[in-house]
Amino acid sequence: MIEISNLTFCYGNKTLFNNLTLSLKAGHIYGLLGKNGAGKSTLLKNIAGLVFPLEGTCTVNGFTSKNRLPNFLQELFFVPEDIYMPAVTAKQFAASTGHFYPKFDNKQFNNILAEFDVQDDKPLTQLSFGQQKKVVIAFGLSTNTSLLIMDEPTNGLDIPSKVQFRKIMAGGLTEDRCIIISTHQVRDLDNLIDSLLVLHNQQIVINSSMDDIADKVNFGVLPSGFTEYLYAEETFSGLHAITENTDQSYSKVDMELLFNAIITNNEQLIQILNK
Amino acid sequence: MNNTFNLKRFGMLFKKHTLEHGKTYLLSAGVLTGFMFILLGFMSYSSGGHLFNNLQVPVFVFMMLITGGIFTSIVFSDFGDKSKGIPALMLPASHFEKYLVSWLYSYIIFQVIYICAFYLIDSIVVNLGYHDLEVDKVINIFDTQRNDCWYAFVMYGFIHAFAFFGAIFFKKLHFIKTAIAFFACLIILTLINKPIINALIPGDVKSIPFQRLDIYDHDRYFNMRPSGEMMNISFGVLALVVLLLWATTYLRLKEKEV
Repeated sequence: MIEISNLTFCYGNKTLFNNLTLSLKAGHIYGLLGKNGAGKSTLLKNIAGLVFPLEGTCTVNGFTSKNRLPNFLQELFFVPEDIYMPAVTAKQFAASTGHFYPKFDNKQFNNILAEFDVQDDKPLTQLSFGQQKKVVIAFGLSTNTSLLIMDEPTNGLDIPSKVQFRKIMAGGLTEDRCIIISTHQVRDLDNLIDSLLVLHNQQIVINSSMDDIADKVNFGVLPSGFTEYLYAEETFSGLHAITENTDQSYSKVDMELLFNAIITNNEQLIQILNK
Repeated sequence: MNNTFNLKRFGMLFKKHTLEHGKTYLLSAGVLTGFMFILLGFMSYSSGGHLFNNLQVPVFVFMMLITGGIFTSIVFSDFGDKSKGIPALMLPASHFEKYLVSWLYSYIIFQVIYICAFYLIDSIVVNLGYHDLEVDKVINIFDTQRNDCWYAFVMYGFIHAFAFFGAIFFKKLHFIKTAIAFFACLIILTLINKPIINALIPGDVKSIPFQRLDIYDHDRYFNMRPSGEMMNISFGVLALVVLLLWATTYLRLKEKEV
């Protein structure tokens, strides 16, 4: 679905991506992680055609992103971090914008709004930032585009809303749809994503399914003094560690620990995960 | 669906734009009408209740150029703002359709609304005054023999094209930056014009670019103005510049990044 080939992108003198290559497929919810300033939002904007690469290509469903053709745009919805809503009600917004997307489902939109507990007859400009964000998320899901990009979607959502968000997102994935969620709040992606992308040092260093990660490494608490690990963090309860999975045992992926390990340039771990 | 222009999609985009911006446009039209009433009313009051043609024409021309320039310079403001720019660029319509909606509103619809507002206010003010049928008549802006209002339409084309380009080129403070760029261009044109004219015609020569040439030769003075044919060439050049600026604006929109 998404093919990025040898992408190089710079902001002034700063190189954000250098010959970055990435392939993403439909039927997955990808979580995109990276440090502040690593270029998560810029990568998503390159995919959406909102910024243009210096070199390389980016295609979605065979369309070159930077051309922003209507046939490309009607199969893509982008939920930005900073949102703007016009001074119309959610109902009016759906009526004036929904028909640009061939698979837009108004009933689905109303159902998600109801689940999020957002009024659909109040001008959007009178809603709080979190409420506005819910409207955009609900609209994005209801467009049923083959690609849904969400940049920091949980920013501005309160704790109960984050739980609702995870629930709603889980129901929003179909086998012909690809969802990419970028966040720096790793815990928001727990039990939500099925594949992990980590952007680090101008490259995608990890592009693996959660199952694949769990097959290759174990996450657990080791007794203090234990040294046979790939990466560990000392806590009150002992060493929270990542070890190589040599006996096909299963453990739940601790994304925060994994992310911390990767951004400390743990080459051994990265090599094992990319085997 | 055609990826360059589709009438149905264009209609949807026009409706969406009207729904989301209609209130602001109506309020702006209200402010324009109010300001026009105050200005024409003040002029009528200052002239003892009369509103002569030579007062109505400059009000029509200058208000059209200034308010049209302001309106056009903000017509693409959504694309310069990060939070507004993403939904605007991501909306499934072609660049040409997005361009055309803004062009229609700022060029065609603005002029129609402006003319209607002017006639409404002008008629009210003329009739409120002494209304001497000989001198106090509502001007016919399309009468090219009796007044220079037609000039406003020609100049509006140029002002619109310049402001339209500024609207997409600048990210913030569109009107101020476009106005500065406009005056900078005027100054550069005037500064370039002088040495060119002096190189072509030695002596004491003064000129206004594309308008007139004053030659002083001892005690004689010659005033030269373009003939009908030369005027046509000037208008042709102006039309070409307008078309180039409109085309450049479209290309700039196609390459807009947020």
